[in-house]
Amino acid sequence: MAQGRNDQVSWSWRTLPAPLRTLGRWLTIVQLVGYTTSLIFVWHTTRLVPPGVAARYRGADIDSTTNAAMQFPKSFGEMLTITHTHLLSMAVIFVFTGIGVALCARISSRWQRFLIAEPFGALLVSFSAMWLMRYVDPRFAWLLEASSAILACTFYLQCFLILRELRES
Amino acid sequence: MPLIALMLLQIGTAPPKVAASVTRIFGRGASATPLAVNADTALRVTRGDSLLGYAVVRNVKGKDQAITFLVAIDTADRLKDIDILVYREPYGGEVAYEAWRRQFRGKSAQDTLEVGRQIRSISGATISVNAVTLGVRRALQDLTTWHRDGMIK
Repeated sequence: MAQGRNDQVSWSWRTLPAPLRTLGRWLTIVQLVGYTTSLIFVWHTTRLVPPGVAARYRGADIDSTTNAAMQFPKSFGEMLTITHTHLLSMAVIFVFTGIGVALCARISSRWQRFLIAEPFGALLVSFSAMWLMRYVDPRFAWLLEASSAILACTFYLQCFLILRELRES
Repeated sequence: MPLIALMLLQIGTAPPKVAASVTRIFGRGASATPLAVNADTALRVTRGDSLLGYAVVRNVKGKDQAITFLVAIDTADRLKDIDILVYREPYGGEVAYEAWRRQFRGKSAQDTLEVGRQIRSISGATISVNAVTLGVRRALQDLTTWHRDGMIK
């Protein structure tokens, strides 16, 4: 317990039993598929552009004469539901990838800490931007888009590093 | 017989939520009296001695939960309005919004009420839109048939 920093080095994918490495590999692959599917879903509903995101939350085309689907503003209850379900489930995803990154021996401790902490910060920024976009100004969609893009890039980088480490161990 | 129809018949008058909906649709002074029709229950809506129309309360299944709604017609069998009485799901509650409901007004049993053609869908509420639209179409057909066949007077 109290032997200090050297003990941290011994915890890596290389030193873990093979079944745990298999678990880590498949968990990462499944999370990759799940995260990519969620991005495809968001592309389908908003085209992944800030005006589309703002319309999704603030409403649009309600009085249009076309047959296009109506987009009503999200209610306060819906905003609460979206926030708590996404925040909690995404936090779990990044706990798993964070553990995976922490077990990567080839990355420096500084980069490990950055890659582990960054998604949690980006999550808070993203969901703050979502509320500001809904109730204050639609231009906060740009902040939401930027923080979500950084979040996605970090996730894919985390997965790449984990899978690379597991392939070599 | 659906539970909701049994309840309406046993109470003898419309429950407060249904009564409030009837008042909103037909105006002040409108009152609803339950009528047994086959295995169902319709509501006869009157103000004093004058007949204003008919209504029916139904349930449809949304994604997981039942959606309770009311469909009202006038004496010419034109759809007067619909009302979502109870919406239980966390998502899709936009079907209760005026902007969506007003699309049904003036429709008759001859209208197809097809989502994407006569009725616009709602982004994020597709299942509820399809369920309620189908329910309204059936309720409108039933009310029209009952009225034309003299089963409700």
